[in-house]
Amino acid sequence: MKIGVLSFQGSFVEHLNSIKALGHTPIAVKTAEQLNQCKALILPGGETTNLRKVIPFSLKKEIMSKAKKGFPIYGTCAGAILLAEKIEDEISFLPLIEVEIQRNAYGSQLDSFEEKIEINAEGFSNKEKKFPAVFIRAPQIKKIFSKKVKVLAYCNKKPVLLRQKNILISTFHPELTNDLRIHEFFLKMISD
Amino acid sequence: MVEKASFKVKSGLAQMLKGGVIMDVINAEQAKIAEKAGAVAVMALERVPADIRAQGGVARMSDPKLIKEIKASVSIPVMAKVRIGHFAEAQIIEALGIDFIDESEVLTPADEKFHINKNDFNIPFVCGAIDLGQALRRINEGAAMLRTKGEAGTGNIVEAVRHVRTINEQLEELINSKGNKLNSLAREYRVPISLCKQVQELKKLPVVNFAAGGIATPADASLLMQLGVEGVFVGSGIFKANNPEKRAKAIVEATHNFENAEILAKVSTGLGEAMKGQEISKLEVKMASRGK
Repeated sequence: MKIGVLSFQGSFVEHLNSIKALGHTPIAVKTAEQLNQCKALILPGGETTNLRKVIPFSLKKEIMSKAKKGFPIYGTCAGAILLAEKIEDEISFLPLIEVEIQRNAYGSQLDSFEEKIEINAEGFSNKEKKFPAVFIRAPQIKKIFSKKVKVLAYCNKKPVLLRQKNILISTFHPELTNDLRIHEFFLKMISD
Repeated sequence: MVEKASFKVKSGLAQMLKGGVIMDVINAEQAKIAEKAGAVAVMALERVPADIRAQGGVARMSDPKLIKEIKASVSIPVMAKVRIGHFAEAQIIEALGIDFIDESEVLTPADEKFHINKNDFNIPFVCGAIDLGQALRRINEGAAMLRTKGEAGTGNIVEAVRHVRTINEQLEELINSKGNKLNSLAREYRVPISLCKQVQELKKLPVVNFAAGGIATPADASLLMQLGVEGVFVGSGIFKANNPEKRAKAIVEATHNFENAEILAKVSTGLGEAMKGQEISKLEVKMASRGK
């Protein structure tokens, strides 16, 4: 399967490598034409202020229209911010998941951290192995507006992995680890 | 258990900056312009390298007041420079809750023998390197990110290009070396053999490497990206030019689309005058020769 990763800025190489490691074909997406080849799209971690400026309008439009038809999209950290219906103190960008998110909610880089978390979804055996979650200047989910949003994981009582139908977001970075289970889970959403 | 300041957490921030432009700014107003233009981080300092060169004297860490003002004005990560080996300046920057420290040859070095032991700190560090030996020694000391030294404040790209090419050639040599040859390279670079083996396994440096020093145009950014760096620092090149807003945006777009000549042509058009720039052979101080 061809899986797209938005490839302007941030941890896109790591996501492309994760897709490759799962035996699929990663596509670096910068245009609507490239997106049209893909079965799903990942929005990587990076700097939100930068990402929202560099995504061409034609690509943004295509992402929105595809998402409304059930096309799976996964956003990590900055990618999650871009997908939130509401961003604290900022205008939303691709409002596709009914949550409110706050940028840099933990503080500066000195407050960045790693933690092993339990994930409550198919394919995760927490007894065997918890998931190594890396939080870098991470955002926090402040409100969930709809019952359609399912929380799949918490870290210190805060929701960190959430799904609303075809949209998946995490406030941490699975692409910085060798654990491919969340990417695998996302790819399974294609056939849902 | 929550683990803070691990190597993954420190080098992870650098990974999030990849493909981006980090800009030198001397006040909150410039920081906002940089953020608006799409910078992924700003470097807070009192004088850009071109002015440090022109004014001379000892260049030190900036006043914490200025750094805090800049930090308060933007939502992107903020970096600040300390002198090579000056771990007390680094302790002060860390206490301010800034995101990244640049142990920089642009400031006057404080220690001729030792760099800061960066493993002692929770805040991540970026360091300059002109060759693979310097790059590996800095990583061994705990650097979470590297950049070329280039020749800061000159608007002249030739040194940064040399540093990228040198590191690329030496990386290839290291990756293809075995047995005695590998041992002798580790001795030559004065780093543990385990670090050399890690580079061999990854087939690249274990941290992100940016270009810095002399970048003044969108084409400069593209050239260095095409040579294999993962992002760029622009110091004097933006706010010493005629139209900083436009140039900052153009360099950001050029860095994202470094292989697309059509976009590069578009963003390079009508930027106004770039910073004047200097011949390397006419310089009184060569900053790149500081800190081995």
